[in-house]
Formats: sequence, structure tokens, C-alpha cells
Amino acid sequence: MTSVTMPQVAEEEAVSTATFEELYARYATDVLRVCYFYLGDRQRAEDICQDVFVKLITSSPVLHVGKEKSWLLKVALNRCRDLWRGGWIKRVVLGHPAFELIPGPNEIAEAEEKQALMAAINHLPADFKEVVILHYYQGFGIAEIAQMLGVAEGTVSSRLSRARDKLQKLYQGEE
Amino acid sequence: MNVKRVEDLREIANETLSGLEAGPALRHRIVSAQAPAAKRKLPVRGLAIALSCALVLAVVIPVALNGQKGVIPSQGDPAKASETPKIQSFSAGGDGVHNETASLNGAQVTVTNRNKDNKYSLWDESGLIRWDGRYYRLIRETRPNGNAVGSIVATVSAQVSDPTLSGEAVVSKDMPVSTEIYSLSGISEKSLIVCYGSDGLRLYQRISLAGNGLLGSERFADVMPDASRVTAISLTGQDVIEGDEARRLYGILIRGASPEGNGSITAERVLIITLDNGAAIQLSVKGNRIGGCGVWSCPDFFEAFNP
Repeated sequence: MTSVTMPQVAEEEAVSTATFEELYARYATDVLRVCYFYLGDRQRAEDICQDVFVKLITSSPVLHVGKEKSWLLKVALNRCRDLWRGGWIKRVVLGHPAFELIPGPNEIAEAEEKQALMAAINHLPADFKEVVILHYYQGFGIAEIAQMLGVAEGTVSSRLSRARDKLQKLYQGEE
Repeated sequence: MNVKRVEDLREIANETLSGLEAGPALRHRIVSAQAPAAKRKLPVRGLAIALSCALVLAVVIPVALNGQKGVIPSQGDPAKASETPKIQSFSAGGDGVHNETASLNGAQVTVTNRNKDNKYSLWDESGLIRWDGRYYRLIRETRPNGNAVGSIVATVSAQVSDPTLSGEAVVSKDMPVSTEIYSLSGISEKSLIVCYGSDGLRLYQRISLAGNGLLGSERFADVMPDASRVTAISLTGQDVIEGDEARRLYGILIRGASPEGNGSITAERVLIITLDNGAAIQLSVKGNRIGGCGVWSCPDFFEAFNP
């Protein structure tokens, strides 16, 4: 008798029943820090974080278990991108030292190296900055980042690779 | 610097951004931003019903009080109306009941000649409401006049036994779902709110709970009634102070209080503040510090209170 292997059918992802309070408690700090990381401005970061959660409450999106954070960050990054590409950010934020108001670590040399990394990422173009933040800071995989940003997985891989090259050049003072 | 350090970005970023947290203030902004209808208008029919209830209570309570010669509606025994009414009070340490003599004025409660070692609390553990991040505790033994009720400000969306009242935007421990919450006329709902319960009008005072007290840029004056509404102040072990002197002292308290945090203190004494609408509220006292919505240091007030 010939055995037949049935194709694997993906299980339907469970719909999340998490409340606003639960999602805020779990992810709001991450959303806030990502926004601040992106924009380098605390007030704007808080404004965008507020917008993200207001949208969560008012639009009541259907979220799947385990995908709530990616939805929140996707909305946040869209807003950050709009602001970053707008005139306000370019006039006000660039040229000011980034992350100056947030406490840094104790060891001076170590602190300078870490600050240099943060500053270098802050100077990346928006497309590169987003993938670096999502992959290296928030720990999302290539496939999930592609879904969040609405681009191909190859594009995400390419941007990550080019972002690392650019970071190296920024460290070496070549840019 | 080696670009490989980017692989440590999560640790580096969280360390660098450790001072950046999404806290209660931001949560309050979010909830406020999506809920401009917290002070929603009642439909005309609903407003008419609410006003009718308030009018009935405004008539019934004074009549009942006049008829029973000052007995508190929730506790009075008509058969003993002619005797000097006594109020049962309990020390915060729970060491038993202490009977005290009370003189009553309409819906107010004024207690005199208290034992200096005795302390009692108006706060009722059975009643709690959380509304948009603000916590309110039920005040027992005093009820504002029915005509002091203001406009509807919120509606209870969940009744829970969870002591931290987590979950929905408007949660109550004692009031059922759909209970309407009202402000008191002329008093900010950030300090006092009322509901109509099965036993009549229930007064709730703004307090701290589980480390949650003031929100955003709120000050002490924002969570306490205005001095013009104060008719009496009493502190455990001291005579009651009334009138202009009470308002003067209260003003010193409100202006001079320095914030110490959003926690609470264990009361050694209690400070009762009586208002012109029949409501009375309470602050815990320990040394020169008071606790209510937040903990506050106010040595000037206690110095003025005890010259």
C-alpha cells in the first residue's frame, strides 16, 4: 500500500484577547524606547507612543497571539518614519547630541563605545535604522520584519547587511 | 570600535535608555486622549431622571433628618432619636469599638472631645473605584447633601474583587456595572466623586493605592477641595476648628504641602475636613506628614495647628 503524506496545514493563529492594560504593561516601554531610539527626542517619542496605543484602543485591530508587539511597533515605525522624513526632525533633531538626557553606564570608555554605537545607529538612513532596531534591538527575525515593513525578506537581509557596512564607516569616521 | 557590537544592541540600548519607561502618566494620557466623552453629555431623558433623583434626595434627606432630630440616616434608630446620638468608631489598629458623643448638623458629622489616644477612620475598605488611573475610596458615615450632586462624569464598566482594580477603564469593588459616577457641584472630580448606591448617595475620596496616586502634573491642590468649601477641620486629640480659622489652616496645608511620593502612610492620627455640602474627607497623619492621594510633608500646617 502506498502511503500518502498529507500536506501540512498551518494552524489558524489564535486571536489575542489581551486588554489595553495588558498590552500597555507588556510593550509600552519597548514602543517608547524604539520611538526614542528612532527620533532621539523624548517628547516626540511619548507623543508617538500615545498615538500608537490610542489607535490600538480606537481601531480595535484583530491581533493574533504573539503578534501584538509587531503590530504596535509597525504602527510606531510608520509614525516615526513620517516624522523623520518631515522637516521638523531635520531642523530640530539633527545636529543635537542624541540620547543626551538618558542616563548612561558607569565605565567611561565602555560608556563612550556604547554611546558611539547608539549615535551611529541614530545617523543611519531611516530604512537601515528600522531593520537594525527591529532585528538587533527588538529581536525580530527576517521574515517577521519583512511582514511588518511590507517588503521582501531579501530586502530586509540586504538592508541589514548594508546597515552594518555603514555603521563600520561611521565608526571609522569615513562618513 | 567593532561593528560586531551591534549584536549587543539590545543590552546596550536598554542600559542606555534605562531611564525611559512608559509609566502611569503616559497611560493616563492615552486613556484621556481616546476618551473625550469621559464628561459625556447625558441624553435629555437620562439627565431628567438624574435630576429627579437628586431633587428627591434633596427633599427626603433634610426631612428625614429634621424628623429624626439629627440621627445619621444610615445608622439612626428612630426610637432613640431623643437621646444624644452616639457614633461607633473603630481605631485603625482594630482593637475594638469606641463609643463617642457626636453633635450633628444636618448631614454633617462633627465629633468633639475625642480621646487623645483614639483614632478613627472614615475610609471604608469595602468601597473602591478606579477611573482613568485615579483611585477613590468610599467615605463612610458622612454623605453630601443631595443637591450637591453635579454632572455625570463616568460609568462603572466592571465590578471586580481584585484589590488593585486592574482591567477596565472604570472599575469598582463595590458598585455594579453601569453605575453612574457624578462629580460634586463646584468640586473637581479629581478629588471627590459620588454614586447612588442601594443605601443612598455614596461619597468617594481620591487616594493612593498600590503606589498609584497623582497623575501627570497633578498637585496636591488638584486632588483636594478648594479652601472656600471647608467649614471645619479636626485632628485626633484636638478640638474641632471651624469657620474662617479652619479655612485659613486648610489653606496653609494646601499651599505648603511638599510631595514625598505616591505611597501611603500608617496613620497615627487622622485629619478630618468637613465641607459645606455635607461631605467630610480624611487624611492620615504621621508626625508632620499626611497621606491621602500621595504622601505630603507639611510642618507649617502642624505648627500652625498647634501654636
